[in-house]
Formats: sequence, C-alpha cells, structure tokens
Amino acid sequence: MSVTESTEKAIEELHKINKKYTCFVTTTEDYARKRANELTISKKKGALHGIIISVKDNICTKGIKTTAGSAILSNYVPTYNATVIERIEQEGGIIIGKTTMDDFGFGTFNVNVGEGIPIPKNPHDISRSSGGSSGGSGAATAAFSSNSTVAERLAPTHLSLSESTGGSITSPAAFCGVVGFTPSYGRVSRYGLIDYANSLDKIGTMGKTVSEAEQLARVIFGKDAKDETSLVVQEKPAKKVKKVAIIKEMLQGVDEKILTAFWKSIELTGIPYEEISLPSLEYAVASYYIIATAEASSNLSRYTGLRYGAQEEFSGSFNDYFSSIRSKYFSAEEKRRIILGTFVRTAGYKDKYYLKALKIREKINHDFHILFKKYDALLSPSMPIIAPKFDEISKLKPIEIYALDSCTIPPNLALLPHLSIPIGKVNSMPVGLQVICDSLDENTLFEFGKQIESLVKYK
Amino acid sequence: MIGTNIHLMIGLESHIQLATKSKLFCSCSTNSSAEPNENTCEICLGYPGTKPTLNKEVVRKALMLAKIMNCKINYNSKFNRKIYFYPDLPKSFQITQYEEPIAVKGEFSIDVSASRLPNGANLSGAALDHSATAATEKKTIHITRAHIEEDPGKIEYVGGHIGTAKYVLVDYNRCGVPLCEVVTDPDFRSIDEAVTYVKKLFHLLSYLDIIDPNQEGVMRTDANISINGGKRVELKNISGSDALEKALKSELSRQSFLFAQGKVIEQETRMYSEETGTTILLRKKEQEEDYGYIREPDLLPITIDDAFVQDAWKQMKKLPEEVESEIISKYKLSKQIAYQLAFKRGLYAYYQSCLKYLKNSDLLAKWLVGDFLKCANWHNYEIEKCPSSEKLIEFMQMIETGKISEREGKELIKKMFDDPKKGLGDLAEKKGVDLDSVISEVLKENQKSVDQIKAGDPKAINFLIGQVLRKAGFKGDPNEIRKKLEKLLT
Ligand SMILES: [Zn+2]
Repeated sequence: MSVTESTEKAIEELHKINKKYTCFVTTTEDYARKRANELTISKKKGALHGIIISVKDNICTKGIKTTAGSAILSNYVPTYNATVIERIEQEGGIIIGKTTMDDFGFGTFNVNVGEGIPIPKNPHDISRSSGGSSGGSGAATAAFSSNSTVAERLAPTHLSLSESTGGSITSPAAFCGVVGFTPSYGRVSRYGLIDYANSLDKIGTMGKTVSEAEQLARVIFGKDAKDETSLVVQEKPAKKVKKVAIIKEMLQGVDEKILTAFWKSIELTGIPYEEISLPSLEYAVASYYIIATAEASSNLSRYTGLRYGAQEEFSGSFNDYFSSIRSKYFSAEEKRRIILGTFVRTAGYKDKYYLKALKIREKINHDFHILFKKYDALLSPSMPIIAPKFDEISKLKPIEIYALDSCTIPPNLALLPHLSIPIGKVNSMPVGLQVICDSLDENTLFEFGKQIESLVKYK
Repeated sequence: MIGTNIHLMIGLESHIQLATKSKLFCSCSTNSSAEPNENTCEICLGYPGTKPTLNKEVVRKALMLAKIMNCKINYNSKFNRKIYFYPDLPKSFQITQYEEPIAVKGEFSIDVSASRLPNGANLSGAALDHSATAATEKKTIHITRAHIEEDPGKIEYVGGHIGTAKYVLVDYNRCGVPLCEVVTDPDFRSIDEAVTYVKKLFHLLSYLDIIDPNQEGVMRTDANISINGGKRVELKNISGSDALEKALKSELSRQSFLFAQGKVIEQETRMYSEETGTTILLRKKEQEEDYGYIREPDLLPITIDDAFVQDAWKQMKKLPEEVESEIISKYKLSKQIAYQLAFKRGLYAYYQSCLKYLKNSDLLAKWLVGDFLKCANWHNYEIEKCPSSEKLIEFMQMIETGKISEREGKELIKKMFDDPKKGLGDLAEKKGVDLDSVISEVLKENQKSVDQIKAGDPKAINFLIGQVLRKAGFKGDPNEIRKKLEKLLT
C-alpha cells in the first residue's frame, strides 16, 4: 500500500475515532495529505516513513493551532515548530492531529479543559475518563487499529507524542490499556513545548507496544542547542535485569483488585524482587505540587492578552486589562494552581514551601540514586484506581485527585525514565504496570519492558 | 541650604548594557537604531514554548567588568525569575541573577574630588584640562555585587509622560538586551563622589569596549540616598552623570528641608523629573511588589573555570595608563600629550591610522589633543562621530605643506565638526570673498602705489598684495594675487 493510500485510510479512521471518543482538538487531514504526497515524491525513507502521528496539543506546530488545552490559547497558532516536530518530519512521520489535554497539563482525568476543547472518552468505556493530562493521546492510541502483529501493513501504525510532568503519560496509558513511555529529563528537547513546570516537563511517547513507543522515542531523543537542559547521552547497552525492587510507599492507597493484578503479573514475569521502603516518598506529592505550581504560576503569567492568545477590547489600565483577560479565560484549575504557586514562592513562605520542596526533591533523587546501585529496575502499579466514571470525578476534591498521583509522581519528580505497560483488567478496565529504570538508562528500560510484555501477554 | 551637619549616604545600582552583537538569550541583534520591534523573535517576545539559551559573549563581557571592579568571581552563578506584570515584559518575568550573581565583593577606586577628573570626561568625553598629575586622594568604593540580567522593552508615553499619556507604545527591541547590574555599598558621602564614580565607570567601560557609548541609555542608575541615618529613598532610572547630579541635588534638598522641619523621611521610591527639576513619588514602601523569585529552570548554572576567565581577560583592551606608557615609549611624546591622547576612547587608534600617511607625528598629536579634542568634547562626540581619519589626513597634509595657516586650520577643524558631510575642499574654499573685486577696490584706493609700479618700482606690488590680503580677511593665496595684479598693471 502506498503512503498516500494508507494515509487516506488513516484519515477515514481518524474521523470515526474522533466522532466516538472526541480525542482531538484539531485534525490536520489536509496537512497529512500534503505530507503523504511529499513523501511519495521524495526518495528518502526515514525511521517513521508514512507512520501516522498524533501530537499532544501543548507541543507547538507551525501554522497549526496549539491550545495547550486552555481557553486562553484557544486561537493560538505558533509561528514555529517544536524541535520534536522537526525531527518527526525529517524522519517521514505524518502528523494527523493535535490531541486534547487538561489545560496546561493540570489534571489526571482530562476533564479540566478550556471552553471549546473536547473531553476525551475512554475507548474501553465511554462513560469513563481516558486519564490525563495526555488523555487525547491515550484514547487515540487505544482506538487506532493496530498492525503490530500483522506482517503486512493494512494501515500505517499510529503513534502518539505526549508529555508528562507528574504522570500525564502513565495515567492515560494505564487507563486506556496502551504503553506509555516517559523519558529521563533531558533526553528529549523541550523547545516548543508549552511549559507547565520546566524542571519537570518531559516529552514522551505512546504506542500499542513497547517497541512502538520506543520507535517514536528514538527519533526524538538527542541534544538540542535550543534547549540548554537537553543532554548528550553516551548510549550504553541494555543491562540484563536481575533484581528489582518494589517500594511499599508506592503501593499505599492502591485499589485491592489492582494490587492483585499487580502481584499476579510480578509472578508471571518470575523476576526476583525485594520489597523495600523509601520513607522520603511520603513528601513526594507535596514537594511535586509545590515545585510544579511555583513554576507554573510564573509560566502562566505571560498570558495577559497583549501579544497572542485570547484578546479583548482594551480598556482601563494595563493591570485592569490583564486581570480581566486572566479572570475570564483561565479555568478554575488554572486559577487554583496560579494562586497556590504564587503563595509558595511569596516572601515569608518561600523558605517554608518552595525552598523546602527543592530540598526534598534533592533528597528523593539521592535516595533513588542509591537504590539503583542495588536494583536494576523498580516496579509499581501505574495508577491506584481504574479509569473513573465522569460522574465519580465530579465528586472528588482537588486534594483527593492530587493524591491519585502517588505512583506516578516519584519517577517524575526524580526525572527517571519509566514505562506504563498494560498487564490485565479489573472490572473490564485496563490496569498498568509501571517500570522505572535509572536515569538515562532507557536501553535497559525498553528491553526489560519488552520482556515483561512477552511474559505477561496482555490482550 | 544644606547645613554642614548633614550626613549623607548614597549607594548606587547601575544597569550597564554590555556591548554584544546579539541579545542575552536569543540571536536577535542589539542594534538600537532598528525600526521599533524589528529586533525581535519568538524567544525575546516570550512566545509559549520557547526557551532561552545563554549568549556566552555576555559572560565574557561581565567577567571583564568584574575585573575592573576587582570583584570576586563566582564560578557557579545561577539565573532566577523575577516575576511581575508590566507591558514591557513579555514573559511577565525578568530573567536575572538573584541568589548567585556572577561577581561579588569588589573595590573601585575614585579620586574624591570630582574636579580632578579631566573636565572633558563628561560621560563620553576625554580630557582637555590635564590635571592627572595633581595630587589625588583615592577613595575605595565597595562593590556589593554584579549580576547579569535581561533588559525589558521600552515604553513610549504618547503625548505626555507616565502620569499624563493617554496610551503607550511598546518597543521590544531592547527586550532581552544583556545588562550587568553593578551594586555599590552605601559608600558615597557626597554627590560629587557619586557623580565621579559614574563618570569614571562609564569612561572605563566604554574605553575597554565593555559597553558601546554610542548606544542610547547604555548606563542607567538607581540611587539610594539617605541623610543622618534616616530611611533611604530610591531614585529610579537616571540616565547619565548630569541627570544623576541634578537628581541627587534635588533629592538632598528635599530631604534636608524635611529634616530641618523635624519631619520624618519615609522609605520610598521616587523618580527625577527633568521637567520640574524635582523628584516625584512613585511608590511607598508598603506598595513595593513581592517578586516571588524562583530559580530559572530552563537555564543551566553559568559554570566557568579559570581558563574561561583568563581567556576573557586576555581579550580585554589596554587601560588608559597602559596606552599612555606605550605612546611615550613609541612616539616620544610628552607625558601631558600622551595622557590626553590615551584618555579619550579610540583617539590613540585614530592617531595611529592617521600617522601612516603623515610625516610629523608630533604635529599630528598636537592637533589631535588640541583643537580636534576641544571640538569633540564640545559636541560630546565619541570618536566614531568625529570626522573620519581620511579627512583628518587630508587636513594634516594641508597643514604640513603650509597650504593653510594655523589660524585657518583652527577654523577648518571647527567646520569639519559642524558640517560633517562636506568635503574638505568645500570647507576650505575661500567663500564670501570675490578676489577680483577686492583687487579693483584696492587699486582704486591706492593710486599712488599703482603709479609707482607703472613707474617701474617692483617693491610697490608687495604693499598692494598685503592690502588685498587684509581686505579679504587673509583668505587668499598671495601668489595668485600677485599674478592677478601683474596682469592688470602691465
Ligand atoms: Zn530575539
């Protein structure tokens, strides 16, 4: 099948999927067709030749609307491409649309969206959330037909470019039953990623299998002169995983049935493990929310309706105008995090919250560093619950929602590479296993992930 | 009047625009003569998703500055975000070094009497009155810190000033231009000392090409001033040493007046108004904003080593004293002339480029530190705005060959500065004198001499030439006049 044909098929599928699960903010059929034609003419065959790619809507795409899920950017069209987009295009990937997300990544269920931005539905049960904040990517990855087991390509593989700050890849991957990969901080350039919390944001990938997630990841890895925090990495061969650790603190509050599924999968893999305690994790969620909101509140201060994004007729002083735009277009969750983040960095409270949180992060990083001298990988459930129903979510308090990040925050805060791999079902809904490896050791992570995948055999 | 019992304390914070081709965190040009908002990109406009990357050239210039301030270098300095809302600040935060500045604890020596600094050194000039040999009393000003930060954009108040303008225009060309803020301890005990410090700093920084004195607003100073141990008042954003002097004088008399009346001087931020000649209240202490500083997560710490520091210092230009010694040993000029030639930024290089085409190095030096420098200082011109060296070579050749007299030379130099576009030929043209009509007048008035010549007395013609020259204001070539006279009289 030619790239033009397979792209047409994918567009057809895209329409069906989006109608059912509303996982795209913007679909880019014309752009995809144009790219398919260019690829047909060009002789070059890149690593992603003809593969359909969906992109989380906080990654800037030149000439294509990029909202970051927020009403304040609902009309924003970037003038440049994020570095990851440039790399995908160079390797022949075809971008088919921008996936929906919680505004600026502020959420676990993809229900915190700006006006006009769709809430994605879980392909396993449309009355349930597909997770967040990369909910659109999770739903699309689950919904697109798979060919990874078919030798002859019937339709191009779909892969999704997503992003995690505190668990935004693992959560939707687990809820939607797909593989989510979050890299070590610095492995992927953040240039062109609309910031939530710069010291924690990581662009990652989703696919139906570990190999698929890895395929896209390999394309976007690498140092970028436009992002100082991106790293040059000396590739090391994958280690054979001999011993893993299970951290007790990451099992607390996890649903009983999920725990059962988790232990069953550990048994299936047959890998020797030790149960250990990491007491510093008690403060992980608090530390994460302080650092993340402190940075987020400074990042969001640029949205004043002056140069881009939502605008209104000017009136009053600039302060009046900025306030009116921000009051009108920021959602409740955006306002909550701005207020929280501003508070923790205010003189008089800064020592108590922001600076202390930075110290806790250092301590946790140090503790993980010690652990990886003894263990090759860490395992935990991906999420403490299965995908909740939308009407259940509305009953939860923000603090209860934040607590659901207890499994995903530790590796995200410590900037460690991790995978969420589907391992089974509870109440007909997918359950994920989270695999964490040492910093910059993605090779071991991918190989170990594939090993688990083959032993557990999720269907 | 200011009583003798007033104890004055001043500390200064100078925002110094480092001379680099591109901005601090993007590749936009720093050229200030561009059209509004021409020098902007996604990064300096703070578009969502963009990230800053550090321009290493800024670090080099900051290290040069740290050297002349005798600061301790911080080998691991960091950036922070200073968060506040203002239309000239696209990200609504300024990237600055708050916790860990690049340099700390410096010392800068000044001559305590401002009069000892050459008169011409008025924020761009050089010396005319040479008094460096006079006995000087040195005073050390302690430097608290020097840190790197980005400049915000520029606001134009249309049809008025901050209080009266109906609307403002924002130009982001300046946004992201590299600044180094130098903070002093409150060491100044007189206005003269503060002004002397700013003048000396400006001169040295421009001399060493750390700043470009031709750029507008290249050094802006905030002054903290208090009297008799009272609360300090911060005067914001003062450009240049003249304005600083006026602002400090006006604020000192305001505080002295309050003090004399037994009133309390409150801690506040004020600005100096050129219009009213007074300082105006901007905000009181309680209205001060909390900037909620956090670390800048997109930038790595500036990690430098000794090799980097030494390399930056190796690229530094020579100091005026070093240039002076070089001039004395190389050209055998007097100490006084060498001092003046060395002091004015760029003058020595200008001297050297002229000398390639001239014979008399003494004569050139004499003219340069004389009338040339006088004109440059009168116009407040940096060397780049002075007549080109090609023009000056042409001028000196006219002097060397005696084509023009010294007196004519002095006039011509003035014209070269006043009318920079005109060629030397046009400027030197004897304008306003019609030689033929002057000659016919002189002939009419001196019939006796005419008769003598006609009678065969050759000496009489010299008298007539002298008369013509006098009448023409000495603007004429004696040989040419002789020829004309001979033609008419024979
Ligand atoms: Zn720029």
